[in-house]
Amino acid sequence: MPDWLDIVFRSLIFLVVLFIITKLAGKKQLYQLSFFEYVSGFTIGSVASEVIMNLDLSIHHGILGIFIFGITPFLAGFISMKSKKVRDVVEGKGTVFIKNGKVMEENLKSEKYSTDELMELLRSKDIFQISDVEFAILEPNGELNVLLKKENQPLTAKDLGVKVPSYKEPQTVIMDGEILDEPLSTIGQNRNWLKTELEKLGVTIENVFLGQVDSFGQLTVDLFDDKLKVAEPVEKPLILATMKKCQADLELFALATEIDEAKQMYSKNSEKLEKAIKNITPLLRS
Amino acid sequence: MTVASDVKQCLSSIKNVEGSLSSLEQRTEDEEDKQTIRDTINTMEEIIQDLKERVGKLELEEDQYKGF
Repeated sequence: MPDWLDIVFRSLIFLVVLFIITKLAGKKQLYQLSFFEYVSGFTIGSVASEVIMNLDLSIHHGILGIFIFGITPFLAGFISMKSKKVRDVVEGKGTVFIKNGKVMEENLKSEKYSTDELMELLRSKDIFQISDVEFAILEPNGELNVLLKKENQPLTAKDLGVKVPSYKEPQTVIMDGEILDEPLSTIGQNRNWLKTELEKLGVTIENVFLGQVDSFGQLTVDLFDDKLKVAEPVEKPLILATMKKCQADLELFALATEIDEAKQMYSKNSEKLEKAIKNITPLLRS
Repeated sequence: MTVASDVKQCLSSIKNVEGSLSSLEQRTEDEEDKQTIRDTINTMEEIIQDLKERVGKLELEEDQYKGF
């Protein structure tokens, strides 16, 4: 067998072996690898390239080495999934760098991080002032995760005490001008409904690049023809506007009438409507 | 325009709102949101009842504008 053919043969074999090994490693991304997995990955690569190019080495020795380096981290991962103690050794533990807003100098020293490096990590998280930080931990993969003090955290609906409608994932029902039946049946609708909704928007199915339905059954589309203007969904704002108009009307009737009984009835219903509007506004505004 | 026709207009607007809300409720997936919409529909129904009564009385007074 000529040398070049041998190299082709070896390359193909190791491609298959490496493919199997990478499948064993699973879906973990590179930065999620523990140090152990990281080093064995390097070793596997260099063993493979060595055996492919150096024709003096035997193929099955190479494969044996690769499998041992592939399977050991896999087993270690498997055992560490079962036991917290093994996990702490294999995957490592996080180190607390900032606690109660104070920098833990000893921990910095034990991880060999300088103040500048800590500042750099914080800056990469958009934090320029250490006093903004309540708690920071260095993860085993070298990433710094930071909990800001409450007053520096972004404002949420919970902080404001605002009621927000719950939001389910939207379903994509049209892709490249084709109707997708499965998502459509997930939201309990059919093709006829979709056609009616498209007619309401004044577009043809062929022109729709992407169509999505939100959890309130409202269809939004993106068209191939970007010059065409799509009508904004008006249903929900319209309901809200009508409710507000009726409430104003009822108030007006209450003022206009001279009959006491009617006055009471109008103002009572006006108040009821006002309360209902307040309740439903978060739903209709989104 | 008479008072009766104004009130009737308001009544039909509220009926319209009730209808739109019912169709919205049908299409909404989340249970909590559904309940909020249902509560609003109930309020609308109460208001519709009251207004209907009022329209009936007004029609007695201005019977040249009978309708509904």
